[in-house]
Amino acid sequence: MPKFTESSFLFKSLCALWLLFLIMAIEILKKNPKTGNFKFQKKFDVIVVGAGHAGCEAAHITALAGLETLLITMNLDTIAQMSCNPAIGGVAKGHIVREVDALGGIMGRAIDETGIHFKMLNLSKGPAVYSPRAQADKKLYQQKIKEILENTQNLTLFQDTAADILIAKNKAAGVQTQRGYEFMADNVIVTTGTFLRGLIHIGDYETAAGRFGDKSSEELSHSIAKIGFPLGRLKTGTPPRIDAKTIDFTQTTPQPPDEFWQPFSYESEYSQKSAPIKQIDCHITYTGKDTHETIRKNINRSPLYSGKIQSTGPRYCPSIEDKVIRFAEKERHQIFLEPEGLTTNEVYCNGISTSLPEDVQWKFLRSIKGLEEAVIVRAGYAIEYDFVPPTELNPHLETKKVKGLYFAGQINGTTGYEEAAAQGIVAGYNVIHSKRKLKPFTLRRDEAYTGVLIDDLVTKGVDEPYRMFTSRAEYRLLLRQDNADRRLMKYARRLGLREELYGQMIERYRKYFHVKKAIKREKLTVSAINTLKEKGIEVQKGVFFDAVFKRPQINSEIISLLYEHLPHKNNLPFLDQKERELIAMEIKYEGYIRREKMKTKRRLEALTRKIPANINYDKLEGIKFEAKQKLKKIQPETIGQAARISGVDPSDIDILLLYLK
Amino acid sequence: MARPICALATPIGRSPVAIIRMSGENTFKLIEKIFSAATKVNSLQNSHKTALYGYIRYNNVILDEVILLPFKKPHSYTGEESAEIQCHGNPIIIKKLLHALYEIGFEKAQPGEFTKRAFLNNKLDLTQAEAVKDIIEARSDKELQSAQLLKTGEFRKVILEFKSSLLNLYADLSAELDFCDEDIEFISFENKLNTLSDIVKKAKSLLLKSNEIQKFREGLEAVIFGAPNVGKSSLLNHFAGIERAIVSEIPGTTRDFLEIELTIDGISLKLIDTAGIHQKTIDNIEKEGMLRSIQKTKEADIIFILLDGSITVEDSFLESPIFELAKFENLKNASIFFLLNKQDIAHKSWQKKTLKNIFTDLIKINNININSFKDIFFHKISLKTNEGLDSLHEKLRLEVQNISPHFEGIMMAEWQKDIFNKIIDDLNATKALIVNKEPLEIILSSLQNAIDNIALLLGDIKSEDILGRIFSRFCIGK
Repeated sequence: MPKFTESSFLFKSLCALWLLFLIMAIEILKKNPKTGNFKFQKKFDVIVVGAGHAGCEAAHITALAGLETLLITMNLDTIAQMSCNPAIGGVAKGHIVREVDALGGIMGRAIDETGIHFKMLNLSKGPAVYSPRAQADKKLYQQKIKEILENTQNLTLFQDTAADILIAKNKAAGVQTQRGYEFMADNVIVTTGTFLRGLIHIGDYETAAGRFGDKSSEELSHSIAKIGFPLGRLKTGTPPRIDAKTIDFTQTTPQPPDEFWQPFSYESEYSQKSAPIKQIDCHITYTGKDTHETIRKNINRSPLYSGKIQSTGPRYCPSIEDKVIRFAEKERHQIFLEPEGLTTNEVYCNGISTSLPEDVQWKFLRSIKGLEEAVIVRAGYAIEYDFVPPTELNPHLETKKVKGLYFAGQINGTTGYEEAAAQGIVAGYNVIHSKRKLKPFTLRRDEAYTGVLIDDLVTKGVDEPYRMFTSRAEYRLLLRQDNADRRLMKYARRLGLREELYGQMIERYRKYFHVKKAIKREKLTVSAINTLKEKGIEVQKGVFFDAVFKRPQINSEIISLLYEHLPHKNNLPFLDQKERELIAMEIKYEGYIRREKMKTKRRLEALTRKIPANINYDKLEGIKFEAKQKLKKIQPETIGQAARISGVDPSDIDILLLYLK
Repeated sequence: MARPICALATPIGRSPVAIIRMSGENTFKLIEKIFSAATKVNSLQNSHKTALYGYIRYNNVILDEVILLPFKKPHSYTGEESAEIQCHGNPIIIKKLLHALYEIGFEKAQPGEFTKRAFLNNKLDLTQAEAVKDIIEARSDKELQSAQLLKTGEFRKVILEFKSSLLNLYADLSAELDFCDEDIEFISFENKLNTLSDIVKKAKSLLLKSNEIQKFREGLEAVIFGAPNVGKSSLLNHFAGIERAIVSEIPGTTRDFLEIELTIDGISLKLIDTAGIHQKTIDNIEKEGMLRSIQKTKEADIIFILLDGSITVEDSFLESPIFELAKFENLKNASIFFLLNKQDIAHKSWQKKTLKNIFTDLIKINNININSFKDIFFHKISLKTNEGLDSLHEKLRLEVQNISPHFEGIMMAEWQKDIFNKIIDDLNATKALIVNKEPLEIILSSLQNAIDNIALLLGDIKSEDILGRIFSRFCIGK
């Protein structure tokens, strides 16, 4: 009967539908095998995964700006841990710390209070390349950062391991942890350092770890891959730490810290805070022929040379085995013995990072002058870890694939606490900007090392761990460590941060302005001419002060004299000698500085030209295939960014410009 | 998409064969409309670089019998689909053919458009494109060789080498900034200066060579002086006849010069006749004018002084402009050919001594500093009977060879030279900074300017280049 068949058909389809539902339900259950998932009630504005140097800056700045912030870390006792060198700053890195500080970061403040050996590097060169560096008391530094974070409003710290980044409709939705928490937020900043599938090597020994003694993060790496991010692998290394009481320091050369303390943070600088905590020496020793002999004999036992480690390590931080093999003609290599703190005996052997087996480490270490009896308390090791090619990111560090998802720090292929901190703060700024519906926050290359750093990352990508150098900056003369406040503090103020400091900064530069004006306007007095004559400098009458500043033989003594002879000196603001020399330098080299500024202006005009997002590179005739592939992948926003992509030649840019006309 | 273009590739005028070039989208499709092969052929697409004999037929009229050469994309000069038609070099035929091509969809090519397309399609880089122009305009074997070198990227290679030495210095100096606390030996003060001096020297020699080679381009210059009716025009015509040179009249500012261009042993020589100047009869003002125009001509390489051998020594000399010529600084690097013409009706007074002695005496008497001239040759000739002309030719040939710079180097275009001059300025400024012991980052900023300028010649230089150099040269890393 037709009716029956019809209803039986209906019945069958209903059954089929039911079955389908059942299968789907099972599938859904399968997808979430963890029972007892705990969905956290409160929705955050931003979740930061990882409390290293990037994560701490990111979480701090967003919370400071009033965003409800959650900082998840595997271990609250290792917040802001210095996994490698117990030091902050250095050439170009010191500049970055100052920039982070001007933007409202905490790294500068923390090191000012916990540094045990401050040294301004490059003092024999000009002020543009002076670079502050300091050894930290590792534990005090961590405690200081933790203290600052714990006392920051709107910031919640939580110990657990992030396992999955939650995504809804191509937007970040939250983070799920290993223990089953589900935290919800529209913005997630991932700062996982070397922890993503971290693998430690010492000779043949290997162990999964994010840092010696800490677990690696396996699940999160898979989660990131699952979203569709490519993962690369990098390698870095660290030297053995030894017990100070087993070092014969009489065999080494002491390195005293600076006599005059120059702090990292503008807060310390403006308030003229005068002294850091107790300062102690570092020591220098050298490897010798026996050291090299031992290393050479055992070279095939190094995972770097046996082929066990395939990933790329940084060229500027080679392991001792690399140095011995690649620079075979060098008879000795320098080692800095750096104390890890005031209350610990651990000493960091800067210069001999290694992944050789431990028996070899003991042997070659003890062939070093002063270390004949040294006892290793932690072995040196190499670590391999996952990173996401930073070309996956927009210049504001948000991923191109997922809105609201940001990567900062070593996950982007960089190395260094300072580089990490800079990315952390920029990611934080961008979350704030996005929440407040402001334009994305990016810094230009002529504006900050941080700008150079991020532009290099997102434009060129990395093929070795990326570290900052002054050579990477085209506008070296403009990016001084002393003027980071002038360059960047305005961005903090715009968000309502650092307002008091901003006022002090303006006051500082107003002072400079007046003195500079006087130097340019006043003619040399008779007494000034006579004084200069005594110093062997002949000057004609009627010459302006600034003309003398531009002479080649001007030194700090003469600068001092000139200031003393400035007319109406008493009406001018007081400058200390450091400031005087700075102003003298600015006057002397203003031609060069102006030229760099001109260059940036010209470049800006040509390079800030926007490339439309819907551009179809395939249709552009004349651009090389390789260049097209790169352009399509990176999707540069401006001509300038396009020009810096490796593989994109000026002729390609010409054609691109032609097209945009 | 590149629109189809066409143009005549050979000079306008009558010639046995003329070539019309076509390039762009659908070139083959369009040509197939008017070309019919004499023998059966595959499609043009399958006849890459095959000479096809056939006819151009338009509106049912055969315009010419031609050879067609199709080039498949991207294996052509422009990198596009292109073709060449070889037709008879009759202006009327050419006009008709071009007209037909325009009618079926080709556009008239802009000057240089084929090369521009080659550049846009990455068939040539900018220096190579520049070179194409030079090859077309080259007027001597050596000049051509220079242009060819440019095209094969030789210029690029030279500049790259130069850039490399600059970058190495930059890297060495940068290392001192970025790795100040490393245990590496930085480059010494003397070493910095020496390296920089070497680089300046290199830049200057590149420029110098370029200028020498440029001389070929403009050709050597020879000027004929002499009294009226002494045979200047005959000498010019003689050379013109032998060398089949183009004689053209060039209007000067005050006088008309007659100028021909010869090629001697592959070197082009411009021969200028100061025709129409009546030494004896013109007044001083006119003489002044003439001499000024001599000075205006570029540095002459060769001077022919023609003397009348049919009159007395004294008379002949009185009429010649030799005394005035000796005053001109710009002629003093020239080689002088004293030519005693009219040997067919020679005057006795010339036979007492050798020519050389006669001149030496005269020069002594008149207080002319003969040493200021480079080389002096004496020849007795007759332009009427061709006496002595063969040996004059041989001498001239040797002299042209002798004064031509030996080819070694690259000729730069004006813009490239400008950049080089700027680079030299930058480098000298850098040197001064080093001498004054100015801070390193200022020295580097100055050096950077030179590198930026190099980048104008070659394209961007990225900071990775610098770091790469540092890492390859120093053991860096604590």
